[in-house]
Amino acid sequence: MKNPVLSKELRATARRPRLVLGLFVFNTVLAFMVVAVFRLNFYISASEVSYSNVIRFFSWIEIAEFLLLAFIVPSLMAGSIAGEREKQTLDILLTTPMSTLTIIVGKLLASTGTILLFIFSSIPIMSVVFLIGGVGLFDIVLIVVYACVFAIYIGSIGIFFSSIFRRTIFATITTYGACVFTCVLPYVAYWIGYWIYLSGDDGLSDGFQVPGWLILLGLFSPVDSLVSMLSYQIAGNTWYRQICLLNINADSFWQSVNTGEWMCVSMLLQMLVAAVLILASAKILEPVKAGKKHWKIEEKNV
Amino acid sequence: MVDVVDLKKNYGNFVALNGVSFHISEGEMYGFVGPNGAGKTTTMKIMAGLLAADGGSVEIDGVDILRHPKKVKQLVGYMPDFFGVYDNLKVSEYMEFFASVYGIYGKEARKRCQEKLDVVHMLEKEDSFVDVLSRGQKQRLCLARCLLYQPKILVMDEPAFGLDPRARYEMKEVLRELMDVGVTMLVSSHILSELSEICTTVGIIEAGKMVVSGTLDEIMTKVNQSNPIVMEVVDGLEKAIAFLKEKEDVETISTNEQKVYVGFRGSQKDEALLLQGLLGQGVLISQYGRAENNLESLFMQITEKEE
Repeated sequence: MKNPVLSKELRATARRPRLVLGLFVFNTVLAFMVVAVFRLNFYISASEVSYSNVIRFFSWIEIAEFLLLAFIVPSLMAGSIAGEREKQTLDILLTTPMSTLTIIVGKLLASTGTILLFIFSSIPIMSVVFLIGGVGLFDIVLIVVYACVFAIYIGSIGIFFSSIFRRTIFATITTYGACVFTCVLPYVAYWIGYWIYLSGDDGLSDGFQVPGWLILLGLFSPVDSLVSMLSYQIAGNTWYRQICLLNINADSFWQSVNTGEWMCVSMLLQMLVAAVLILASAKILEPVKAGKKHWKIEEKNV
Repeated sequence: MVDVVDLKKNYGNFVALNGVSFHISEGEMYGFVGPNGAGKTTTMKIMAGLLAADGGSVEIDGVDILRHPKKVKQLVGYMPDFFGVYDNLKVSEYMEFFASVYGIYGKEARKRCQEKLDVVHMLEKEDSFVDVLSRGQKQRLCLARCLLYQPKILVMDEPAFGLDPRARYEMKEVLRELMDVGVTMLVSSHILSELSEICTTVGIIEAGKMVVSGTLDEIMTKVNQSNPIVMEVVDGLEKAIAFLKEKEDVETISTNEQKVYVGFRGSQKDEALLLQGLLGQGVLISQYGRAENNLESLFMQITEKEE
């Protein structure tokens, strides 16, 4: 399937000095984080290698990468449609036979492609863990899949706001807001519930249980997906399992759920939400909606 | 070819179009003139499928585009008054991008793009980046883009707006060449004289209503009919005034030395009979005829009447 917008965007983006600068900054920051985390994990003795430290080290790199992507993706996507409006190129695109869905998908895929470029460019840095061992190719593939889902999910939120707002600045602010809201809402809700429980109880936390709906809400949070992924990758690590909504003070039913399967369901649901947002954005962008209003008036006149 | 009938559009309480109607025949260049805010851009945006109308119909080549908004995209080439271009793309890449939008790829796309760039005299710029082109060159590039898929009608909103005299001349030449090869066009401007040189038919719109439409000669004749008859009386001024006062069709008489201005509501035949009568009274007249408007005063006269 050929998408003219995708080809055009990839070509134009590749020529932007901003991309090269972004890649440089991204990898430099990541490299510093890797060195810092490496020093923290292996500072006692270089001759002794603890494999649990290696995988923990790797998980820190994943978190660092997630934080950088969370910062980059909204800014990339929020201007995609609003920017076309500001540059006064959108009207021209809308007068062509290309559907609004093709325009939206082209924009989203182009940005996802840029994100993949960031991910692939960071593989040499992530490969530091291969020097020590303990991390397999599957773990790298899992990160790439997660990054793609994250880029499409947050990207679709960005595109949605970009279709609504005429100004890039408003679209960017709301996208960042929605991104933070989506990522941390279940955790904030959990901590508020926990705090209310503690303030009304004797102070013992053992009796507090996370309601099921809050755990299900976690399926829409990329942070919960990340924590599930880390918990799945580092089976022996109890810390990630403890902060995963499935396991913090949940009843035995939720605790029995496999975090790997939970992560898959979470990513699938996020892709579903992304699909809905993409379709909604395409609908919003349509300049003339199948002549509904016009028809009504014509019928009245008759 | 193009039939716009009773087109209506409101923005909230503001009536942008109040029953605009006009017809454009095949191969015709229709000049759409009106002051700023008259409804030109709204009409054109509706024709390009960018705005929904609140009433009326627009038929292009037999297709009602308000009922079939997707079909309009194959029929109309739209050039907005203000538009941007993509940075980091060369002229040839910009054209090939739009060719691919219309399903034209590879060698065929390259050939077609070069042909159309040649039509607008931009072929030598095909390796330049679009963001460094002058405004006139960008306008011509946009025109070349519209021509890529041979639309039934080109809708151009103020194509000469903001251009320097040379670019304006070049744009006019390109439009003339397109008209010579039979391209149907709707061109808007708020300057009548700009269009009068190139358009076959002109429509004047004011406050969302089509005030007058037809060939420039027809419009001139129609409006000139309401102008006073100006005559230069060499001898017999008093006799002439006395004679004119007796005529029913004469509404006003004023003089300025030998010149007499007569407000007269009769037809062309009545004008001739009036002259015959004056000569029969022994009045010597060296000049006789309706005062003529120039294009700008014509435009002002038409739009002022509506106010």
